[in-house]
Amino acid sequence: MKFNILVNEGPYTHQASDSAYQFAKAAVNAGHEVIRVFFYHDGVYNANRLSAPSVDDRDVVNQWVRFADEYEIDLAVCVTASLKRGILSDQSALRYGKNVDNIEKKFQVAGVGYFIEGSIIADRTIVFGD
Amino acid sequence: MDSLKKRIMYVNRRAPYGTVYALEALDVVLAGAVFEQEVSVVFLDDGVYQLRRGQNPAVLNMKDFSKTFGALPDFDVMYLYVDEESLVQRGMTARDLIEVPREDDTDAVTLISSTDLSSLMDQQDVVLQF
Repeated sequence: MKFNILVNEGPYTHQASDSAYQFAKAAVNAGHEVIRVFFYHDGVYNANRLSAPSVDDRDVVNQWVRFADEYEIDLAVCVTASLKRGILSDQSALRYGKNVDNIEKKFQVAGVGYFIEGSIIADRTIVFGD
Repeated sequence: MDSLKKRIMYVNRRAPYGTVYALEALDVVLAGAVFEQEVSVVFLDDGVYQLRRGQNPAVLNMKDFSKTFGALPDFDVMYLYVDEESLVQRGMTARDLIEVPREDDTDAVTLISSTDLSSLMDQQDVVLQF
């Protein structure tokens, strides 16, 4: 089965991202396909490469990156939601005159339509958040 | 390729201000319209406040985005379903709601009973709750 996943909350405050990660991993290990994980609302904070959790905690950003590397999963953050929350690609940083970019490169920046497209292609769309 | 057309339902359950979910949900509906699926939008629980007539969020430094709902018929969203029970629980009637005229001047804002709403939900391919 093809899954399209939406993460609507940021890391550490809320379990949504952890649950989405566990679900995605379990789905892939059970032979299903995760076609896309899209990050919306505060979910875009999951792409912040400047996150530095303590060493005895899980690293939410990195676990997505490792997962995406291993299974070739498409990770995408919403462009509008991320810009206003200060999650910037190198191109956006340049464009808006900010002296730093902070998107982890494994996440692509896309319009929210990219998520809707995923829900059309997929057999199931699973949303993580309140 | 009508067989590929999906029935997508957006369910708004939160008040328009206080959190960003309602505003960003509307962004999803607008962005998703380009895919020309069978789209409906539902207002349930505190979500019914999103259609409240005479909003003045300027005093909260917020934009009144309820006007944008008026554009939805232009994006082929012909039904804005309002859960009647949620409306009654909040001491409101249809007269308290904004009108969203379709091209033929009929109102896209449609009251629906909880029973009818649940069977409508049952017919959907994708239900996205905000």
